[in-house]
Amino acid sequence: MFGRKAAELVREEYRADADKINTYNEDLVSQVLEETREHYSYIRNIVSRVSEEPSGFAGAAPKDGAAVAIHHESILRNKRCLLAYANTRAEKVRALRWQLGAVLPENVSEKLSAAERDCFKAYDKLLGEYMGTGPDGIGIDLTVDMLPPKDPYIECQVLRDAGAMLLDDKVVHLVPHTRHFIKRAEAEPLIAQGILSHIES
Amino acid sequence: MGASAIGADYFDLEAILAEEERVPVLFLTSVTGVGRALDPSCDDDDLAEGVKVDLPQWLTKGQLSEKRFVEVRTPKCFNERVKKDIQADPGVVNLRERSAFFYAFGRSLCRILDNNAELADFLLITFRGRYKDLLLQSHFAPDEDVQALKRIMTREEIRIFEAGRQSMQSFTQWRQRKDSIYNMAPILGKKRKR
Repeated sequence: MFGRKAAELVREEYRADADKINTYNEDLVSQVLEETREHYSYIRNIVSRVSEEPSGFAGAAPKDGAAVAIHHESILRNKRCLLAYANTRAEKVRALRWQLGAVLPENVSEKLSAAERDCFKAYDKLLGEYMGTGPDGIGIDLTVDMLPPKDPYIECQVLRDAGAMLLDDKVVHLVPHTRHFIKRAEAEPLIAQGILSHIES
Repeated sequence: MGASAIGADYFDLEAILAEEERVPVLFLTSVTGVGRALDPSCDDDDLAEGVKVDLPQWLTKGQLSEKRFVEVRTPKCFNERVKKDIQADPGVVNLRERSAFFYAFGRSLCRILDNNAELADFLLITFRGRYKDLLLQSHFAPDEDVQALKRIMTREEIRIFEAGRQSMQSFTQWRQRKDSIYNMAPILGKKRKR
């Protein structure tokens, strides 16, 4: 009661590393919602009892007013905590699109709620249309070149086998532990996904 | 609803947690149905008039204090003893022990306590007395001292401290020309190499 669970939810997100995303706490969220409903029913009970008394609301006792105020503040508090939780996570979900590209790896995707996965897809679509070559697109991939480029090609070592892929308009199969000069813009997402590592030259 | 409840910090996790800090209040009226929930020593459904309990700050700052259902008292972490300690040497006082969100808590408490100027001044003096050390330490303290230093800081101070350290690290990386190396997305687990 009285915002304790909602605070727990916020604390969980506050403690999380800014670089990481926690598993969506469905259980706690529904507990907070349930608690909010309880507060609401308390208010309704008090209000309906007072309205049936002959003196009505004008003659209501301060003790009932104080109780309504407490439940009301508790509802607002729970609402704020839930919205802040959802908002903080939504920001992280959007950041994922910039860090990991259009497809989320399984171990990240499973930490999101169904709504958050929809949010990711919708954001991906929006960003894709904006960056694309369509009528509303600007035709530039904004998620690459996050660091100022010095050289169009960078040296990379292959960390793990990711199958055949299209690089420089040719289909190549990168063999683990080999080193290559790869176009910066093409290498960047692969480095972010942990397939390549950038070697200092 | 107080003005701050719909302010720019509405979604701010730190601001929300700062309002979890507890304030002692005196109930000027009895309250229906919340006795056991708000006062663990209460044996009745209703909370009696004149009872003193600690309530989270978010609960007290709205209608409860505005409509004079409760009278808000000064919490322990802003009492005379703490003030004397801080006047003696602000830099060494363990503020985290008093309140993890000392400044944010104090600031909104000022509003509840009718814009208490004395408390506002006290917060300013405290921060002014600690800021110089904080800034120097964030730039020059060796890594092994960091944990010990952070132990006496509030969450707000730690945020400033970390920002200072981050800027110093970025500077070093730039000087060693390591700032143009791409890294794996940190979310995938492995910590970024510095």
